[in-house]
Amino acid sequence: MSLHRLFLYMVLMLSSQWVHAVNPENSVVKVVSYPQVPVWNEPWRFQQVGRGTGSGFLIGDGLIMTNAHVVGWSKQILIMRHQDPQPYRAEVVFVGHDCDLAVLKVEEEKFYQGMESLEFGSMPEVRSSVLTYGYPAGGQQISYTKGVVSRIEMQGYVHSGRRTFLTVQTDAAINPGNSGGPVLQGDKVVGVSFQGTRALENTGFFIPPNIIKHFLDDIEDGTYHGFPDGGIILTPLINPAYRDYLGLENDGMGARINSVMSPFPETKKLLFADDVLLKVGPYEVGSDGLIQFFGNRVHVGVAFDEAQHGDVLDLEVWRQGKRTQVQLPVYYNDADRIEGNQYDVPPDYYIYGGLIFTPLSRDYLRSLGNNWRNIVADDAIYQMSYAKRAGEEFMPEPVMLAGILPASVNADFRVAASAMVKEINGIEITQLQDVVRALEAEDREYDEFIFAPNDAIEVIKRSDAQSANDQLLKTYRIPADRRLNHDS
Amino acid sequence: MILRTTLYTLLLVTGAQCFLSCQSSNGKNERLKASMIQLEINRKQYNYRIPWATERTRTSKEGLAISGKRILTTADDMDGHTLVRVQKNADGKWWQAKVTWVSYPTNLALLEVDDASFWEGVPAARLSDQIPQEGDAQVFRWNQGRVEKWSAEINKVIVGAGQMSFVQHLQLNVDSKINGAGWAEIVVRDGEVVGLTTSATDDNLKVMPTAFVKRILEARESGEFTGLGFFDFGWQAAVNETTTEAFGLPEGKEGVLVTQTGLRTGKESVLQSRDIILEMDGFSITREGLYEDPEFGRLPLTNLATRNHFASDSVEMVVWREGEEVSLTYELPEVVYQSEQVPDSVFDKDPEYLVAGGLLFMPLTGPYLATFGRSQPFLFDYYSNTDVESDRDGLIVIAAVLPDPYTIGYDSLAGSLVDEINGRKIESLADVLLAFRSPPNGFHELQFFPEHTVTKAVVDVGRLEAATARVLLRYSIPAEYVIHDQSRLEQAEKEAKLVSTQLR
Repeated sequence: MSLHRLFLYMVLMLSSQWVHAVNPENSVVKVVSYPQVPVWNEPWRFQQVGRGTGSGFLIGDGLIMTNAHVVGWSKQILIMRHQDPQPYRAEVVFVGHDCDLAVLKVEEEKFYQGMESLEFGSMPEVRSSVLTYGYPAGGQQISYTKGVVSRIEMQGYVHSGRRTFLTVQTDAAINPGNSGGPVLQGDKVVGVSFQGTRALENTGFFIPPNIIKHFLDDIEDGTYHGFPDGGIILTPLINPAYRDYLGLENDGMGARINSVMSPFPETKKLLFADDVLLKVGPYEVGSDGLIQFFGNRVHVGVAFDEAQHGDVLDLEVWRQGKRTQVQLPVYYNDADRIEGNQYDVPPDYYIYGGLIFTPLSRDYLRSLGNNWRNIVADDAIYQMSYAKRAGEEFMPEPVMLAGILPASVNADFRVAASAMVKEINGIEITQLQDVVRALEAEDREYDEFIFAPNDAIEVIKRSDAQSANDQLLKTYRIPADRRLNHDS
Repeated sequence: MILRTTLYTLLLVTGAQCFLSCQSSNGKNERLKASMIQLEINRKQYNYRIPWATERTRTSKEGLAISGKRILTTADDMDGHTLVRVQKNADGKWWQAKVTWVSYPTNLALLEVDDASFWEGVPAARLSDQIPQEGDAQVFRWNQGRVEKWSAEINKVIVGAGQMSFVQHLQLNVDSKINGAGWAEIVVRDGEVVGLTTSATDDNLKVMPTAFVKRILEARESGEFTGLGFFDFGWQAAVNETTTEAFGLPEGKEGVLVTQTGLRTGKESVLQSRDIILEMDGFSITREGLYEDPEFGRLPLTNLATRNHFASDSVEMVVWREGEEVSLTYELPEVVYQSEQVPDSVFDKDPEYLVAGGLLFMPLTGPYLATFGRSQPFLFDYYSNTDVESDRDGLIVIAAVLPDPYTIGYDSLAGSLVDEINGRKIESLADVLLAFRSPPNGFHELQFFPEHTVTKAVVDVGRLEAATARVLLRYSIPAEYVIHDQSRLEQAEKEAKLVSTQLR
């Protein structure tokens, strides 16, 4: 080997390493997803298959990280590598709908050739620069946008519609298609692009490293559990009179536990209204309910989000004039599932005499149009969103009459679709299983239904209902009279 | 020639008839015009977001001179009237009038003018006893010094809720191109006044028949008017034969199914849920909830509460209950807004409020809820529409938190429904007032409904008075509270005294 050739080789080696260091696009992929969403008021049906694109990046162990919303309801996922025309089929390995993260795997070994996984960095500082990588608007070429970290605080994660976590706001453009792409600082991933807002101009949001790490730690045991929840409603304790009433100095420390939600039986044993939360783990809680976290003042929920499902959190509370230590076990809570958006599991239903019963959910309400608030019984909305706040026992899944398949057996029903089922044959209906039990448990000549609002009563003859059902399933090509995934 | 003469004679006779008829019609119109009165209602307009602030507004509408030197009009926009003036024949001279009677549930008002000279040349209009079911009509009103006459067509008689209340009664459905109507314009058919307009949508008018009005006025004069009554129960059409079969109703019988009782009053009822009403007031009820009216044919059963009855009257019913026919007597409750837990409407009263420190307490009422438009907080809706808190006479809300050092940290309390203050259940502003008088220790403890994210607040006892005085001054609030129900205040005071005596 001549000196000249050796020099050239070294240059190539160096440049290849340099390319790897400064060109993470080789590790960034375009994710093409084909989702098919259920029809919530005809729950045996699905809408047309759609097509959407997002981004992702290789993180090690052959896993590609992306957003859960990129792959939610997907029937097929294809991955496109940078500068490679070949699509590769991928499967979801783990998905965290609460934190909007997912990891995918491609079967074909060839896919991984020449790809290097990206490493994660730590929480970026406010005012520091970040670079986003991704395939916005489904373009063929990778796109980069640059911006600064504008602020870091808790925000609702739109995908789940029922959780708030830490979020980093940037002025780097994050557009549809960027979702799931990495946000880099130097050669380290400091976030995953995931959502924007119309309320603010030139603003995008990415998922910060602590949330990503929580997700990756969670799946290490082969199961994704989700972020645990303490079940407390915390409120600022700023008013001097209230502080005085609780025997606390007006020193800006400690936020008040207003109440404990339902369920959360463990929390109900350990924490009480008017306890003042002083510390969660190492974090001191301010009277505004915020903690210091990487130089930012953020909601104390961030401290709870460091725990995994089943962990025990060390809390310090002020109770009846004394500092008290509390070890609070925290668990993932799915009891408010229907309040958020549903993913991947098609809705349950049960059809009887042409009456279509399905559990209430946010998606179901959306299927009724913008006027749903005026259509649906107040009781149903209360059960979905308010009863648990009051710490009361609540219906796991209020059951709705989603529709009526016309047949002589139900032709004279005056009750409107979207009524809530209160009672069948004297049995209170709190979940879909109750409907099945009420209609199948014993032999009866008539089945009597009571609906909200207005306590409307309808009766159906059981023999007629059963014979009508078979015919209706055939007429409307309904594969089965029931789907009961969520057996509660 | 004979044919020609006959034709000529025929034309002459027809022409003469037309002349006579037109002259008679013009005469009637002139007389009607003289009876038509322009009204100018100067009113206080309440602002339920700033309850101590009273704005002013003015409404122009129609009135009709009737017997007894009275002016008849609708009650719409009479609420909060201050100065009411009337004008006859559009002569530019305004006369001061006084409102002698206003009934919001019936949507009727009577005015009088003390100055006798006003009545010169103002004949009393004759109100028709007939309720026409169809046919041509005219709508009259004053506009810029002239009487406007609009063509109209009576389509049908309907039973519907009045403009000012939920009570259903007989009305005329009238089509007309008249614009901006619904302000007691006069509806005439065959030269007789048959109704006053109460509302208008596009080209359609709702008209209160004069026959309905007359019955009320006559009853009032004879001291027999007890207010409009209504059926305080929910029912559904019992068209599902399987339901009636399961309830054992014999073939050939039909009626409607009672689903709820005590809907508005919350009171016990002679009716029960699951009763099937077969007959009401001597009429058979169909499965759709109709009866055969001797005058108007099929009408909804709701009309039977106002057809021949007023509040407190008895309506005989036959119901199917647990396998047999049962006769019962139903007493019609009166429409009284104030008796409702969340009154639909509040008339002729300044909004009630109470300021304690910077906390502004108000009762939950229809006009307050209306300030939210379509984005009414869910819990207000829920507690107004369900019977969850039916044992509570009224609901009190913290309508606003006025910024003050006393209420620092309590901004989020605005919109909270108050459950208890210092252990006292809160059902009225009188309760709030009294609860603040008896703190258990050096703090006032306020408890809100459990679904709120903040369910408790504590304020200092010693600084409350000074804080309230400061807030009243800073926000130019004329009084610490406006509470109309003195009896409630007195009753609450008595209860408080009783408790303190017992404690001693």
